[in-house]
Amino acid sequence: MGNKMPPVTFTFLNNTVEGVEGEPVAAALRRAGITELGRSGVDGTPRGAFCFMGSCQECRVRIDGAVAYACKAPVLPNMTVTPYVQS
Amino acid sequence: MSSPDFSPVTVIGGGIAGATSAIALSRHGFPVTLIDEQPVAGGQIFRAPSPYARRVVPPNHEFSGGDTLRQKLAASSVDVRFSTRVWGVSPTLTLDLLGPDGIDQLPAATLVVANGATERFLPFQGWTTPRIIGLAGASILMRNGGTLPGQSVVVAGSGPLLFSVAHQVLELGGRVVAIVDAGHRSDWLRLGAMLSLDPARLTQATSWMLRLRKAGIPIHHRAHISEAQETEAGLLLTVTEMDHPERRHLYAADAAACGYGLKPSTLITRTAGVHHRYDPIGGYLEPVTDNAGRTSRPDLYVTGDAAGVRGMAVARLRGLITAHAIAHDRGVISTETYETLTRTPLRQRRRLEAVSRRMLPLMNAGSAIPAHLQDDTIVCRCERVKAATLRSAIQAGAEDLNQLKAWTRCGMGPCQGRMCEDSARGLLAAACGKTPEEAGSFTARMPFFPLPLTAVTGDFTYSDIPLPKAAPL
Repeated sequence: MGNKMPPVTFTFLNNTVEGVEGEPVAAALRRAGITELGRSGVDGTPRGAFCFMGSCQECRVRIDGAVAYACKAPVLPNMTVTPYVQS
Repeated sequence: MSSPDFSPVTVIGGGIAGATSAIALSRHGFPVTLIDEQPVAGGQIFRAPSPYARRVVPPNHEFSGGDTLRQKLAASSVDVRFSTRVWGVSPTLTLDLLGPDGIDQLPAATLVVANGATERFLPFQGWTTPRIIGLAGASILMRNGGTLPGQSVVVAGSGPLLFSVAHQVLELGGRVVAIVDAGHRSDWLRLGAMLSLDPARLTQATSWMLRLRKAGIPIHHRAHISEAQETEAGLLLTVTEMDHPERRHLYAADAAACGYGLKPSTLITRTAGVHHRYDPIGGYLEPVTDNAGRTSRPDLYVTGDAAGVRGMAVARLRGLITAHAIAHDRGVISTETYETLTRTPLRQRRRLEAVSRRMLPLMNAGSAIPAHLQDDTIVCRCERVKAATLRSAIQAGAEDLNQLKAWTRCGMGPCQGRMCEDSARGLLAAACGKTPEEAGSFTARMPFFPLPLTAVTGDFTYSDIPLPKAAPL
């Protein structure tokens, strides 16, 4: 409260998403209505953040190319988030 | 009293138990290193709010309690290593770490494991849709992320977290469509009758229940979500009564939060080889500990929820008691001093634990669900293994959890069985007429979570490989 950090933006696929610097990427994405973070490598159905504590591995994305957990990784201005594609 | 042994102590986990223990150990004069995977201390309950959550979540007990704990830790001599995860432990207690600077090893002379609990999940039709999240996950998203799982939420599963999460949804301006609890209403009433032993919990529970009742939210006891279907607008959830499966209730919601209680995190303690037991009431494996957290290894202690789920207030007392026990075991304090220091915490703990133990059956109220899973329900989320595949493997002779894993890949994906172990065990036990304990557990394996190859190689590149000159012909 009283914390007046201006919002920053980042991209997820073709969406420009607004968030507060330092908050978890998955939280900012969810407020923007984005829950699907990728597809299952086994059956191709959507997957998204599930446990929010780094156990389930389902929120893995790439942030500027590097694999990261969307439930933990902090929002930074102008970062590029893409789905992590399981092989 | 032999001469005191001030060799270093390593604490894994910066939650209430671990941080309290680390601070108390440093006051006893031990050099203490505290390892935590989050960027600041607090664990799950006292997790620091995100910059967004600080704006939108009203100040609450968890924020202030967490801030106090973090200040105390910062003022102590404890050497903290944040954003660092333990991905392995050797038989001699050398820890494999992944931190901000890559991988590292840390030999621990004395190890205190305070890595808390993880949530137990049970499957249902359609539960892999991203609109469904864990119950503890929903709490983390809301309290620490200031963000609703959806504008309208069905809260389902078992245990006291149901009512906490429902309350948090209301507090952030969302709508709770229904609360679906696997437990018996009478068990809650019995628990309520005991809450006078724990005034803090009583006050909190009363305010939650009054608010939920005022909001007119339907509560189903002895019920579970049996199916989730994606619709244009969100989710259509089928709620089935466990004792009358023909009685069903349909709810539309943006999202559902679902979790079936907590269980101790045992990967580290199992890999370190301490004795464990299956607690049939909690429905989970826990390390065998005495009342101070001593295990079958004299160099390893377990404290807080990692030694059996008892909740926040008990975790603090346990952390304190474990620290005093180590000081006593290393000859730093006398038996008389130990008894003086622990008399009050042990007494408080006994009182609070009476309530905590009542919560275990409520958290484990979904234990019968895995036996009745529909054949096409996905049990293993990572490998998308369905109940039918598990049942055929069991018919073909898979008799314990590891055999089932080897035959079906259930539990072999990146979560390493954390999401499916309880449901696979329940299904196997029911199908073979075994107890859950006989059905077994997935063998703990390192690394405890997927390691990026770049972390292992570091800055090392191909050109760094020394190539000896070819021998002359």
